Parts: sequence; structure tokens; C-alpha cells
Amino acid sequence: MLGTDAKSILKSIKALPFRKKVLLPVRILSDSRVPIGAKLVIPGLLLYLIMPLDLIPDFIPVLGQLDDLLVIILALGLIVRLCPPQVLHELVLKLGQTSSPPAQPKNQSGGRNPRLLKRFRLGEKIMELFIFGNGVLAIVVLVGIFGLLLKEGLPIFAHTPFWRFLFGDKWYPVSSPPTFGILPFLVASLMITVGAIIIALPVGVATAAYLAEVAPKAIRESVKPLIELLAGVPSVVIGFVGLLVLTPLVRNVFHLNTGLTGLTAAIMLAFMSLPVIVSVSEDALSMVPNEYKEASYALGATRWQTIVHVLIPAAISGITAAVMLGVGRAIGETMTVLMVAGGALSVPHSLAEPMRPMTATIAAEVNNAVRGGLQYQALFAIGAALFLITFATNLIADVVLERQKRRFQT
Amino acid sequence: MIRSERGHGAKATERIAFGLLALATFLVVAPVIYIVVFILVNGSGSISWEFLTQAPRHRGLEGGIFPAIVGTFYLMIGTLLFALPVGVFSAIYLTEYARRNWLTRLINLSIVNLAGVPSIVFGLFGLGLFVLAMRSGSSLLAASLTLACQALAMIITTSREALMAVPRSYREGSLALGATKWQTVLHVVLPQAMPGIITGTVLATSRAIGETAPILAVGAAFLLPSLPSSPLDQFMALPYHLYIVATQVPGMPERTMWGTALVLLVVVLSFNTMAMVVRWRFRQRRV
Repeated sequence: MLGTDAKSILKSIKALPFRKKVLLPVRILSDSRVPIGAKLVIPGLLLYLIMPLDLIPDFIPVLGQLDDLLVIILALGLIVRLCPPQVLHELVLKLGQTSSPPAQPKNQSGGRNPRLLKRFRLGEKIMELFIFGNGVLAIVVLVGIFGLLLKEGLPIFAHTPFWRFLFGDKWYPVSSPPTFGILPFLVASLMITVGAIIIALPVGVATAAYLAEVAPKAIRESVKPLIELLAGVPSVVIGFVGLLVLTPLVRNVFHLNTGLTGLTAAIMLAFMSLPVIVSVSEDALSMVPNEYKEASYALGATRWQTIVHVLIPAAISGITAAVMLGVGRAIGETMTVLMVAGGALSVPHSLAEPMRPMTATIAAEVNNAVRGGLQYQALFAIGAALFLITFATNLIADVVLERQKRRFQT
Repeated sequence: MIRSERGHGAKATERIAFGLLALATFLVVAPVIYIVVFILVNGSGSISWEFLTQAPRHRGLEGGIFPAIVGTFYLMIGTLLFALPVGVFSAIYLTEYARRNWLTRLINLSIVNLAGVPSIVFGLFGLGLFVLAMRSGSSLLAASLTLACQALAMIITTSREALMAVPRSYREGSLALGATKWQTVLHVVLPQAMPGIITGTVLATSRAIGETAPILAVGAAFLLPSLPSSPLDQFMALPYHLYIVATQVPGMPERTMWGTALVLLVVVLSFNTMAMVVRWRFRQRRV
């Protein structure tokens, strides 16, 4: 396809260090001998790279960057064809000379074939850049989520002032004029989460202590996969079983009008946050150095006394982290609370009433909200609040866990 | 004398306390077994050839759940397609290329927090970005991308663990032979870490396809006349179907609910089991 001239130029371009490659387009643009057609390729290429919507949109991971790579290669080929070869050669040579003193490359490459080395370098650089792009994607997604929630959610505060949105106790999204107060959902989320943690904390820590210190190996080996299994069961399945089994049970035991209450939801959420509480607490307990235990036994303490007075205090930050992660899961859980919490719109006074937490509100109304309408904005604002709450709990958990790790490593 | 008596007291306390701990463990485990067995027993009666291979009729009151099974299968493929490469490359960056600086700390922090974002918030994200801004509509594509975002954190975390478990000496050996960094990663580190990466990815994907809230927000369909024929078509999915038949349709026969729950549970748990088997087989090979 390309002449031998072009091939040799491409080769020498490849040989340039990365920084010089970036400089090359600038040189091409500023050289008067280069025809205008070749010059136009460069801004065109830049435009294509910058625009988010192209052949394959950039925010589709991997594939989105693939077309950009292809276009770069195409543009390079185009420039090489449109430019007079001597001019391009000269430009490349100039760049190459200023970059590396002539004695350097041969000596440094040792016994290796220098041309081979050069060819690798370009591939390496592209690969490194590509991998870096993927590496920072977690940040991009997280920031993107929060940005989108704010963009779609903040406009609601033009309609309902921030404080009235947060502490208003009436939610009538479709009446005219609509009223948006999320206090009922905030209180419901808080009550159910606190209820869930009160149930899950003692059970979870006791299970973790049993598995880490007491249980015979056979029991430990069979219980752990079961807890992993629980983490894998879809929440809608757990909600379904709760609806059929737990709901009538709660109604009969507590003599309520309905079993669809905050209490039912709290019990379900306690159950669902157990896997993370148990596994993180157990890790924390097993991270306590053996010397602690041995010293305690040497003082004549029993295993139980050691667990209560030595191990749990030593692992307390890990256990705190476990609880924070459990709180995060409980607040964010959607399907079970949507199915069993009852869905009442007033501010709940006790756990025995039907209620609707924040997640359930979004899930229940998201399909009815008109895009860009007030209800739509209000739901995104609730989403932003949820995001901030779970972000905070996760952050605390992470900091506390790091502290525990550092404490026992040094 | 007094001392030994106190010792006895402490021993008795210990026995009671350990009994309580065992009880707590039982309280955790029993419901898990109960749920699985309950669904197996009640659901197995409603599984029939017709149920598995026919589309729902009469607002889901009759017929089967075939389109939902197919939809969930497509979602799984889509999620894998988007999340696996990005997750693995991201893990490679973190283990092989990243220096210990503020950026790496920020990435790690993002991953931890991404894992904790509520599923319904992912749903809102998918709705706002993929469905509306990208105009892909309530489609398989939008749902797959949303679920991929959700699975991403777990895939990165597990892949990173798998990569870190590869001994340093392997990398040093490869580099000493003159391989470049990327060659080392591709030919030495990745093959060693593959089983761990596969396990983590399969687990993350099975979690993702069990999610209901994201696809509810993105807009799964309850009833569709035909199977999706392109990624931009609407879709049915098992978890959403279960939610609808269990709560939204009055007069729904219970066997339909049980059957749907059973199929969903079997799909998700078989993937979990598959992941475990991969891990187990690899451990065997290593030993």
C-alpha cells in the first residue's frame, strides 16, 4: 500500500520517544512546506478524539477507545501520503536528533537488537496509556454517577427549598401543585437500618467469633460457603420468601393489622447484611496476633474470657468497619424493602407501622416519572442523598479497616 | 480450693457462652438452608417443559417464562462483555503499573465506594446516562452497561487479588529474560492469575444478573410478544419478572411465582457453583 519511502518514515516515527511524537504534529503544522490538505488532517483528528460521540461512543469501555486508536493510525497514514517524503523525513530526523544524543541508544540496549527494542517501545507506550485509562475508570464511573445525580436532581431545589425538601413530611408528587418532602422516607430508612443493625450486630459478631475461635474445622468449612451462598442469593428472591413466610409470622406474633411493616423489613435486612458483617468481623478477629491469645491463656483466662476481653477489644475497629458496611448494605437495599415494608407515605412512628424507605420510593416511582419533570428531579435528589450516605459509611469503614491493618502490621 | 471453684465457674460460663455462639451461627445458617430448600420444594412442582419454553400469556397468568430466561442470559453476556476487559485491565494497572501515590489511593477509594453504591442508584445512573442521554432506550444495551458498572468494582477487586497472588519472582524472571513489561504481564502474570480472575468475574456477573433494582429503573419489560433481536430491543429478565408476578399482578397463581423464583435461584447459584469449581480445580492442579 505505502511506498518504501513512507515505510521508512513510519519506522523512524515509531522510533521517536513518546514526548517527541506528541511534538511532531506541531512541527508539521508550523512547517510551510507541508501541503494544506495534510495539515487539515491534524485538527480533524483532534476533533474526532475530543468529541464524545463518534463511531463508537467513548464512554463505552474498551470498544469506545478502539475506534480512536484506529483513527489515529489512519490519520498517520494519510499524513505520510499527503506530505512530501523529504520534508517529513527531515522533520522526524530533527526531532530524533534533539531527543537523544547519538551515542546513547546503542550502548544502552546492550546485546539486544535496537530496532526490535524501538518497535516494542511504541507498543508499550500505547498499552500503558490504554491500561491507565482503564485504571482510572473506577473514578470516572463514581464521579459520573454523582455528577449525573446532581445534574438531574439539583433543579428540584428551585421548586422546593432544600430544607423543606429534607424535612417536609408530605410527598404528593403528582397532585397539583405537587409537594416534595422526603422526611417520611428518611425516617423510614433510618428506623429500618437501625433495627436491622440491632439484630444483625450481636448475631453477626457471635457467628464470627464462633467461626474464628470455637468451631471445629468441619463446621467452619461447611458454614462459610453457606454464608457466601446467602450473599449470592438475589435480593428479590429473599424478598419473595420474606413476603410469603415472614410477613404472616410478624402479623400473627405481634397482633398487627398487616405484616407489611418496617419491622419485617428490618428483620430481612438484618439477615441480608449478615454475610458482610460476619466475614469482615471474622477477618478482623483472625488478624489479631497469636501472642495476644497466648498471653491471655498464660494468665489463666479461659477461651471465652479471651474472646470477650482480648480478641474482641483488639479487633474492635474491624468490627466497627463490618457494622458500617452492614449499615451501607441495609440503607441501599431496595427490593426487599420495596416488597415487605408496606409502602406507607406518612412519617412512621414505630417500626410496627408500614413505611417506605428512600430506596423503595425511587424504585416505586421511577417508571412513572416524566423525564426532566419535578418528580423525576426529586427522585434523583433522593438518589444523591442515598449516594452521600452510603459514601460516608463506606469511607468510614475503609478508614477504620486501614487503621486496624496498620496497627497489627507494625 | 476457691481458685479451682472459680475455674469451674468460668468453665461452665464458657460452655454456655459457646452454646450461644453456636446458636447464633445456627440462626444465620438455618434461614439460608430454609430459603433454598423451600424454593426447591415448592418450585419444582411448577417446572414443566411448557413453563420453561413458552412466553407468558394473559398478563402472565398463563404460559411460561422463556423470554425472561433468554433476557437474563443476554444480560449476562452483555455485562461480561463490558465489565470483564475493563475490570481486568484496571486491575492490571493497579497491580503492575500504578505507583504508590495519591492517584492510586484515589482509585482504590473509588473502587471501595463503587462497591457500596446502592443498586437503585446504579439504576438511576443507567436511566439518566444510557437510556436517556445516550438514547439507547430501555434496551438490553442500556441494562447491560448499567449492570457492568455495578459488577466493575467486584471484578477489579477479585482480579487484583488474583494478580497480586502471582509471585514476584515470576515477573523478575521474565523481565530478566529481556521481556518488556507488557509482555511479562500478558504471557507470565495473566495466565497465572486467570483462574482467580475467572472466579471473581463469574461471581460478580451472577450477582449482577440477580439484581432487580437497576433493570427496574432502566425499564425492563414485563410482557413482550417476541424475543429481543438486537441489543437495542426491550427485554424481559428473571428477577424483574419475579418481582412483578410476586407483587404486581393480582390473582397470580402461586406456582408461577415459585417456578420463577426457582429458575432464578438455580441460574444464579449454578454460576456461583461454577466459580467455586474453577477455583477448586485450579487449587488441585497447583498442588
